[in-house]
Amino acid sequence: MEGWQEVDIYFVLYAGTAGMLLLCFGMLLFFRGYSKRLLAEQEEKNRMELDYKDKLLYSHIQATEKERARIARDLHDEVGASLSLLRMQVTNPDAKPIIDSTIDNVRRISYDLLPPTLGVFGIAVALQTFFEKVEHNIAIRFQVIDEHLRFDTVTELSVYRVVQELVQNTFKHSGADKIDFVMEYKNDQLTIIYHDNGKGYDYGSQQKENGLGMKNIAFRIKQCGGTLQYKRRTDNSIEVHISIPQLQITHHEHNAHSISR
Amino acid sequence: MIFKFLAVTSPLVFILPTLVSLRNIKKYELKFRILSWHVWLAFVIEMISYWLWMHKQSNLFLLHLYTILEFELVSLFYIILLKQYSKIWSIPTIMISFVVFAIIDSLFFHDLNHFNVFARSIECLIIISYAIYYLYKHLISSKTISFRNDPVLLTNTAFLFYFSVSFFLFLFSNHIMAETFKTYLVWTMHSIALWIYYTTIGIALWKAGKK
Repeated sequence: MEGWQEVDIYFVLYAGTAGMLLLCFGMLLFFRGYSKRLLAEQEEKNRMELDYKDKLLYSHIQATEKERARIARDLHDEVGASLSLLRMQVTNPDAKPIIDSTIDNVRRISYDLLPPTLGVFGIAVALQTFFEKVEHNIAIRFQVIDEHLRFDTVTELSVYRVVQELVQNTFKHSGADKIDFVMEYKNDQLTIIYHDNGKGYDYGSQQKENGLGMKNIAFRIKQCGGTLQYKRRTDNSIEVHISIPQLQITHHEHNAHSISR
Repeated sequence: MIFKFLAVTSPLVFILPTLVSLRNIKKYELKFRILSWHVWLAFVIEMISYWLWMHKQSNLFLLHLYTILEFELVSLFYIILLKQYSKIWSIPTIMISFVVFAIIDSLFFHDLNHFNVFARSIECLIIISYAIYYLYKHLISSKTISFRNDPVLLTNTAFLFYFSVSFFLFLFSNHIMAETFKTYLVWTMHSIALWIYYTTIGIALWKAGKK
C-alpha cells in the first residue's frame, strides 16, 4: 500500500511538473505567436497608411503640375499676347522699356513654371537650359550621354523637377561653388549622378524638418520605379545617385551624341 | 554519482549571476538592483545551507526565512515592472498577506524541520501569475516579444520556468525526503532547473548591465 502511495506521489509529481512545463512553454509560444500576429497587423496598417500618403502626395503633385501648366499657358498666351499688343499701341517711348521688361518677366515666369523645351526637345535639353540659367551663380560641369533620347512625359517631368529640387538644396544648404551633373542611359537604365562640392547636409534630418522637397524627390523617383541614394564623400559633400531601371525610350530624334559643358 | 556532484556543486549556480550583478550594480535600474539583491540573498542562504549540510545539521529552517524574503523581493521586482501598465495596489496587499500566511504555515502547519509546503507552493503560483500577467501586459502595450534582447523578459521567463517546475516538487517535498533513487532523481531535476534559472538570470543581468 505504501509502495502504491509512493508511486502515486512520484507519478503525480512528474506528470504535474511536465504539465506545468508544457503550460509554461505553451503560454510563451502562444504569446510569441500572438505578438507576431499583432506585428503583422501593425505592418499591414503601416503599409496601408503609407500607400494612402503616397496616393495623396501623387494627387497633390499631379494637381500642382496641372495648375503650373495652366498658369504657364495663360501667362504666355494671354498676358504675354496682351502685353505685346499693348506695346504696339503705346506711343509713349518711356513706357516701352517697362512693357518689354514686363514681357520678359512674364516669359521667364511662364518658362520656370513649365519649360516648353521639356515637352519639345526632351529632358536633356531642358536640363541644359536650366543649368545655363543657374550658371551665373555657380560653376556647372554638365554631361549628358545622348541628348536626343526621349522618355515618357511623367518620367521627364519628374527627373526635371528632381534636378530642380537638388539644385535648390545646393543653393539653400550646402554653400557649394560647383555642381557636377552626369546623366546616362545604358541597358534600359537611366542613371543620374549629382554632386556639389559644398559642406553637405544631413539628408535624414532635412527630410524630417523641411522635408516636402526631399519627400517630393524621393516620391517622384519612386513613382518612376527608380531608386535614390545619398552618399557622403570623404570631404563631407553629398553625392546623389538616381537610377531608373527598365525605362523605355519613347522615341529617338536624331543620331546619338553626347553633350557636355 | 551525478546526485553527489550536483549537491556538491550547487553553490556554483550562483557564481555567474552574483559576479555579473556585483560588477554592474551601479549601472542597474532599481528593478535589476532588486534582482541582484535576490541573487545575493540566494547565494548567502545557499552558502549557510551548504555549510550546515556539510556539518550534518538541518538547514530546512533557512527555507522558511528564504521563502518570505525571496517572495518579497520578486514582488518588489514586479511592482516596478507592472506600475507602468496599471495602478498596482494588489501586489503590496499580496506581499503583506503572504508574510502572514508564511508565518502561520511555519508556526502551525510545518515546523522548521520540514518544508514549508503551503507557503512555498503558494509562492510558486503567485509568481507564475505575476509572470503571465506581465507577459500579457507587455504584449498588449508593446506588441513585440523578443526574449533575446530584453533582460526583463528573460528574467520573467526564468521565473515562469523555475516556479512552474518547482510547484509540484515543493508541494510534495515533505513526502520525498527519504534517500531513495527516485528522490534523488527528483532533486536532480530541481538542481538542473536551478542551473537553468540562475544562468538565465545571470544572462539577463549581464544584458541589463550592457544597456
